[in-house]
Amino acid sequence: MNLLVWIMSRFSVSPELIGDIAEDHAEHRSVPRLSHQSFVAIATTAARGLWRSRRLTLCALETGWVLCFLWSQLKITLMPWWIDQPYQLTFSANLVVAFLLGWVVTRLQDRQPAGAVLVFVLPMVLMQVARDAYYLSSILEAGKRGDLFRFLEIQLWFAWLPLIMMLTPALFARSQRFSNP
Amino acid sequence: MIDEEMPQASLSDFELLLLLALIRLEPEAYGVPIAREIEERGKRTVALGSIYAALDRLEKRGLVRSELGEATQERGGRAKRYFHITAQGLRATRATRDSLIRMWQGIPALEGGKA
Repeated sequence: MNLLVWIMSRFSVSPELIGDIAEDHAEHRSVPRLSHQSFVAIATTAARGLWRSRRLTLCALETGWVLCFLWSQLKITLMPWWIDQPYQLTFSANLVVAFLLGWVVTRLQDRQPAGAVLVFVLPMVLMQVARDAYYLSSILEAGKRGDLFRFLEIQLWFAWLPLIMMLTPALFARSQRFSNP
Repeated sequence: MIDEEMPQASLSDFELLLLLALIRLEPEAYGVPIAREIEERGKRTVALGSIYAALDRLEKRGLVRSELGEATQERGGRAKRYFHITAQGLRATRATRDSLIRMWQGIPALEGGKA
């Protein structure tokens, strides 16, 4: 319950609604019911918060995606030099930039920062899932099971960790105001 | 012909259920009893988040008003938000009931208790 309350407060769910969910949980003592109530509370609050300040939302998402595109273009432009750099340096730079991108989005949409970062990262997560599924099926079709763990390890460090870093600023951001009545 | 007393925007079935629950529970209408009332009488499960979202819309339309109440220990020390129907909300509820009754009348297939 404490973890869910913390997650809900990150998404600016109002204290009254959180209190109602706590009271409902005290009555029913059902984890699936609690999870469902919390999920709906987060989804409705985030959606309304993003929609109410839709100009801020659009501005934050566009800025984040443009910066993300520019970063990928910069890496391609600097490719020969970039590859020659120590792996620790490029890896750390990727993580720092990912964190900064998430931070920019939370600063621009300060009324529903967690929801904004989630929407910002969602398309990239979906693309990554599709890409992973394609490569995984290729590896399994070729019967190279030895490559499977290597592939998963590379994806975890170089694709999923930067995406997680983008989400991290949402954990620290606080909304400027609650979205619920 | 359009009735002059017709509300500017009609109520959805969920909004109507909510307003009826508020009238029944007055003055103790807050999230948990409202959900319980709709589950028991309306025979449909409803999430508290959906209730707050709909009540937020209704409050913006002036059909509902809300006030903060007392905090209890089982709520982790958080206050309750009590909702009350306004005069405009009562008019909208009556108007929706009347239009539903008018639509219901004169349909042979809907008369009687069997399909």
